[in-house]
Amino acid sequence: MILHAVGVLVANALLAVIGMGVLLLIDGWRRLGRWTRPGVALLLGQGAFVVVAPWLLYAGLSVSPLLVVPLIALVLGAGILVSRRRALPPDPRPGGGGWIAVLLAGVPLVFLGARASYHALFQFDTISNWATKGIVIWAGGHRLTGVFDPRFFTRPDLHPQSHLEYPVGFNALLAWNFHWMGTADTWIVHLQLALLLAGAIATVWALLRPIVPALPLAVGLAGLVLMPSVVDAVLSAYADLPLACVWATGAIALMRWRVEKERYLLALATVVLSAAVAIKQDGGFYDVAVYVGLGVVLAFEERRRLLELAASAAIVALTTVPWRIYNAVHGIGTTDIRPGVSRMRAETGNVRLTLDGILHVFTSHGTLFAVPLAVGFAVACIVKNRRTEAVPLLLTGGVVVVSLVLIYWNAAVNLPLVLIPALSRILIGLVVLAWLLLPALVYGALVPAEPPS
Amino acid sequence: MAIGLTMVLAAVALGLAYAARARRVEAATVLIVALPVVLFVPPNTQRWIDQLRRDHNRNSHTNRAVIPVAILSVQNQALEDQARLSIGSHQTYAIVPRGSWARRRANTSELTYLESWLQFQLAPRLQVEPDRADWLIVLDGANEPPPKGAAAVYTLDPDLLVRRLVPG
Repeated sequence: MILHAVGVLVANALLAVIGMGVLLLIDGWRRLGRWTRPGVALLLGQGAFVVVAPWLLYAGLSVSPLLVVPLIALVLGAGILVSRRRALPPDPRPGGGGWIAVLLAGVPLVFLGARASYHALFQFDTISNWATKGIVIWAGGHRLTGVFDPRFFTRPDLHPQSHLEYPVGFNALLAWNFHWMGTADTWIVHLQLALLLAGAIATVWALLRPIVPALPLAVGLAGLVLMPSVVDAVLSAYADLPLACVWATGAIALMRWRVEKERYLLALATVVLSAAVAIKQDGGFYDVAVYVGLGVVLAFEERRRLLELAASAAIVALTTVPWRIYNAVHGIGTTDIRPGVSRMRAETGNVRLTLDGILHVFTSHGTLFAVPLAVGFAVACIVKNRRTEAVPLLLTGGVVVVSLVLIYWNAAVNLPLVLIPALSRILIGLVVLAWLLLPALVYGALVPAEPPS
Repeated sequence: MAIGLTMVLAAVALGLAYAARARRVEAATVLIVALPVVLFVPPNTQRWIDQLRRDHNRNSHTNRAVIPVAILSVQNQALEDQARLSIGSHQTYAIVPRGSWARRRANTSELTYLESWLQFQLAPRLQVEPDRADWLIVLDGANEPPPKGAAAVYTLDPDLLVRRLVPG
């Protein structure tokens, strides 16, 4: 069992090397603090892998170390070459006080990882969808080719519970871990979720530290690890928490890009937001929400930067093309959502039902009231004319809720039995974003405008 | 567990020694930390590398999960164990409902859940159509004659596991 955990750690260390290469390519490495770089590299590497691995699979290749390790070396080499040609390094991003975050957030994270690693899979969706597909990708075909077996991945009739219409980024990440374990240990693989959470926490620390003092930020990040909804999400091993980690981090990176105007932040956001939609199709409406939220703000403030934002959104959309082509070619789709005016007229009760469900999630103890608290402090920030994070958060959150209501309104699946209970995990992305921004919002609402120490 | 505890205690001692600037204690503690590392890491690294070498066979896996309540009454552990043992990791199987399953048309979701559970338990072995499968899992087929062209039949009451003579 310990050896399987070592495998997961090695797999993620190599992903951090990808992240390092990408950071060097986008000129983020030298702009980040010395101690925050590895954490950002970890999340960026996990995100980049989740985006690119499905392309390899659709191209008939494998995600085995034999193929991926040379690609990692290639990315790192390209990053080093590009970074050497750059001019003098700029001042690194302030990130001091990291030991407080390591102590407050790192210790409970280690305990969460250890606890999760001794946990059997217990959610049927995880068993039939995420784990089964991960094992088939890990074990299918030969060492380099033929891994994405059409006898499985083109047969939704034989595998109705495996949701073959979903993107396979997270399944590929599980398969990568299985390769480094040398087996498919479905207990230890929970550690991957804890490491995704670790990457997200380190990245948010790097992004928000320049505007929030160390202690409140560290307390906020520790709160995320202790949040019952997040703990449940790690134990259930659904893909919703990985989606939440990359999406919330991407949203915060995009918000900081708006203020700091640093292109590496836009590039970082583009990679992790692409990862969101490569993990789960819910990432689609989540990504739309954050781009619309930021787009509205920029339309009022700096219209010329809208083009850069649109380019980022276009890249995110383009990364999904191989997945959409594969599904279209093999006739794989879902009939769960059937939009239509007549359906909407007939099912007006669904709106109330969905809004009730959303409100129930937001006011549940498990989320530590993250969303109501964030909304309250965001409004206070706006009143105090400190809108940097508040306005984009409210707009993004609003679009997420409206999108979800529209999706549920047009759903052809039993709403009270299937979809409403799923809200607690589908909304985890918004809950995580609200919680991660809370220290910045509290600081903005309560503390007079001064540079943080 | 003992090694882990030793290392934790040694690390605490090292911290205290460092704080007290006690050089001898510090040196002794470094030795205590180094000993389990030397004893533990090299053989286990070798084991891990061996495990990775075997990875290309990909038939060793531990699909441990909590059995869903929906299929508690119909899940057959003996069938799953025998199927994992007999069906090669690159072979295929098909699930054929017989007996009471054929009469349970109203409760098709139970069969779908059971099939998904078996797909997880037997992964990476793939489920295909019955006429193309190397093996057949005949649910509730123990009281019926085995299918034609059977090379081997395992009766795992109430189900059957059948190796086909000439798979499609």
